[in-house]
Amino acid sequence: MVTFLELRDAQPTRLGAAADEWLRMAEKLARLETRVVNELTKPLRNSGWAGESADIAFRSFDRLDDELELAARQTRNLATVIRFARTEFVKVQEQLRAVLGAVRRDGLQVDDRGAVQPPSGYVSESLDPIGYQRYRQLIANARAYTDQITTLVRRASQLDGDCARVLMRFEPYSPGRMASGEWRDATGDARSALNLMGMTERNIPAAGSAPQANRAWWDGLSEEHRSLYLAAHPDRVGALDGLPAQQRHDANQMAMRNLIEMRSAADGPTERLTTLLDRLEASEYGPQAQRLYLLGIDNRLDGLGVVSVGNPDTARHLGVAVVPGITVTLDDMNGQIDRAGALRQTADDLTPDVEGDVAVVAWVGYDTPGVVTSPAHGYADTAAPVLDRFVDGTQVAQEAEGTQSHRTVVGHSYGSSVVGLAASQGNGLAVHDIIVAGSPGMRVPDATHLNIDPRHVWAGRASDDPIPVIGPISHGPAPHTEAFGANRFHVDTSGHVDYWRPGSESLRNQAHILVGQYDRVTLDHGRPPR
Amino acid sequence: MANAPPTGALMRDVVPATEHAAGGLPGWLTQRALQVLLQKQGDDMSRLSRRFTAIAEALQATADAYRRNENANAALFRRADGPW
Repeated sequence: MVTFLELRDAQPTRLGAAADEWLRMAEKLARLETRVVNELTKPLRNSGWAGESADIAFRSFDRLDDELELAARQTRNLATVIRFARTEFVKVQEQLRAVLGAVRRDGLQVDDRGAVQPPSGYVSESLDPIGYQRYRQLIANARAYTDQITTLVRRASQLDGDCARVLMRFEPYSPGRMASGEWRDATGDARSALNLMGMTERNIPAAGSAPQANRAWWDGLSEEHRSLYLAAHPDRVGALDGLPAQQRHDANQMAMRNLIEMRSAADGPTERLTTLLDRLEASEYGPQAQRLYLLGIDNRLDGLGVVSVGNPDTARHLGVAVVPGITVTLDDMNGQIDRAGALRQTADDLTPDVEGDVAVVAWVGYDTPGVVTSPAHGYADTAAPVLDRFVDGTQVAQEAEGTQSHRTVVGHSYGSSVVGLAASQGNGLAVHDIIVAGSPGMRVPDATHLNIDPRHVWAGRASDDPIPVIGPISHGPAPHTEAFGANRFHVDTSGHVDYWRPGSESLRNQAHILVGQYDRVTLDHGRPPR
Repeated sequence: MANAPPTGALMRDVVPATEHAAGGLPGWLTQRALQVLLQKQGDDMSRLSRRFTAIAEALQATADAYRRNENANAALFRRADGPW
């Protein structure tokens, strides 16, 4: 309980310098983490060192990396709490000083308990009516000042208790090591801090909000508040289309670690999450151009995942989504990343002047149908607006970076129905080219319904792929047919799932489209753009 | 990482600034919270520092062991090469 004297005599402005130092410490921790990756883990992982000792060492380095990453975020958030305490304590103290100034001006005295003493002596109303009025007024003022002081001291006590409680939450969870529950604890700490500051989850744009609105909200936050929201509600922040890819990645990776900790605590399976996390972390040690960004994660039921190979915000050529077809779930994320990676690498090799100017997203962002339910439209109906917002989000994030990008959406199998539906609705998809492969139909009668010049619609079909033959019963005419009006690029691969085989003409043709080298695409029929 | 700063250095400026701030809040719960936090963070950073040292020593010992083994193995094959 803060007393009147403790509030009056406190020096809360000193907290500002302390907050600055904690923030500087957070930056040092972040730099140290970068050094651990660049000077320790990356060179050793790429050195060919293998065996049991290497495995144990790499696990140790990874834990160290995680610990430094978490410590940097926790320290940054702690600095924000200290700064908040400074601002609020100073505010209350200034209000107290204003009251004490008024007390002095009235010539009154305040005792050590904060009670303002009424004026001494007595003024007779009959002898000095004006003086009496003044005397009565001062008595009333003294009572009012005492009430104000009491309220301010109470307010300071409340703030002090709240700030102290939140500060104590930021104690290291398990000093000197990384323990299970550490990430969830950090999320709990950040939520307490946000609550202290009067900010809640309700401030975060609702799921499905326009990417422009999401970005405006994010840009309107201070860097400190972004860090708190990211740690407090990583799943919500990571899902917001339009936010910078790096911060979505950080949020989603934290959400995934929370999920792993929760499922581990409940003895639930974690394999598909840990497999993906391992792959994401391993990409930190590989070439920058192939760095993975986790842009979406949902572990419920079949699970959803969105991973970009390469930075989508800065890529001059962006494969917006390799939309997968039936039965693909979060368990298949590795294969989807492989496909995206193969397309990215092939396209990047076509533009050797600038390495790393291509990114391709593996988008398992919708609940895909099973074999039996594949003729159903409902899955695509639900997925189309989600894909549309995701694509818009990449555009918003690119524009914020000042990137002029050529965007292409790639749909495979049932995914091409999702692409067709999304492109045909509203103002279409914010892409320059549409590629489909093994399409059972795009839910439109022909290419003119896709809100894009049909010369920028490209379809491929392997000669022995049965899906484009049986699919159109449910999903409309197959886009590889001449009547559909799209360009049919040549496919040299076999079957329904081999369109992204490295070294194939099927893949190379898609890569040419991705980087806008239309004249180099081998066509079975069609009229490419000039 | 040979020149990595000891993690104690990370808190070099935090400690006096936080102690100074805590000193400005006599009687406040926040004062106590800051003091406890400082002590626990210091402990955390000390342990982290010891881990860095242990990792550095393990890497050095591993490199030495590989070098010794490599030399010993090479010697074996030199001997095996004769003359017989």
